Amino acid sequence: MELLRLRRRTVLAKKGHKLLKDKLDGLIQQLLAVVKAHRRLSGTLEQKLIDIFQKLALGSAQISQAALYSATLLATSKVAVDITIKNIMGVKIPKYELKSEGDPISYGFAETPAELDQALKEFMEVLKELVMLAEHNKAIQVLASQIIEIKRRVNALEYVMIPELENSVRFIKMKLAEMERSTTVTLLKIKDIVRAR
Amino acid sequence: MHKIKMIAPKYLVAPLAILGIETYPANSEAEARTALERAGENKEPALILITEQLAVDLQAEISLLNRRPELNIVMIPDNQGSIGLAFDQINELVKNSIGAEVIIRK
Repeated sequence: MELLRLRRRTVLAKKGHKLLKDKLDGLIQQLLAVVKAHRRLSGTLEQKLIDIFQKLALGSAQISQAALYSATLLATSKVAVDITIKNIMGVKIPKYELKSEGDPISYGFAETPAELDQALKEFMEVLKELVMLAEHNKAIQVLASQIIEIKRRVNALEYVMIPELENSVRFIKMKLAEMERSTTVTLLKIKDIVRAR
Repeated sequence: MHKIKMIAPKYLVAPLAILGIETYPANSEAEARTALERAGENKEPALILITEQLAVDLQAEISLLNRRPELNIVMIPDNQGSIGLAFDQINELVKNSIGAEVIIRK
């Protein structure tokens, strides 16, 4: 009975191991695709951000605190991020979408330097790519942690559980064979004794 | 709808408040640490952008906060250029998960 139960468990463990290994391979492929997209995007975005921040720094230096504060009060622009969940091979990954309303330049142009206006406009354009970069970032984090977890489970099955089950099956088979041999020998002895009589 | 928050030096981040981004000015590592705690203290989902120069000594805090599913902290370069922190962070994650460094040829 125990042998039958262990055999069934071994078959189940091997099936589970194969499924988990396939899932692991799929997740690694997904991760590599996201990393490639992330590298491509961050390469183009980096220089754009540096240029925008240099213009912002220049613009900030040319404007007074009071003028900046009043421009902030007059601004009607709002930006936010809408997060939905997408499912990749059973892993929940957030998908980001930028939502913006209002004109970024809704204050008077008289007191603000041209560099500041230009920088703000460019930052709004680049914000969409920045949100995409953030999405790739989070996807990499989530996929990486899932891969580590699944790797642990695959290794636990491959190097601990399946060998233990196979050893137990082997041990029981060995014991049963020994019992059979000893029963056969006992029966032969009894036969000889009965014949001798 | 979730907020976009930014932690950067005051001269960079102050004008961005015009666009509707929630700004947290910080000029030193200590101020950045406080700003990061304030930005991440509510349980509301948010996208937090922080400049690499300020994030140099905050890697541990950023990794811890990034484990929360509702937060996403992204390091970006500032006007002084990039120091490669964001790149290293992704590299580290990939190395720990796959077990090898990924080099992508263009």
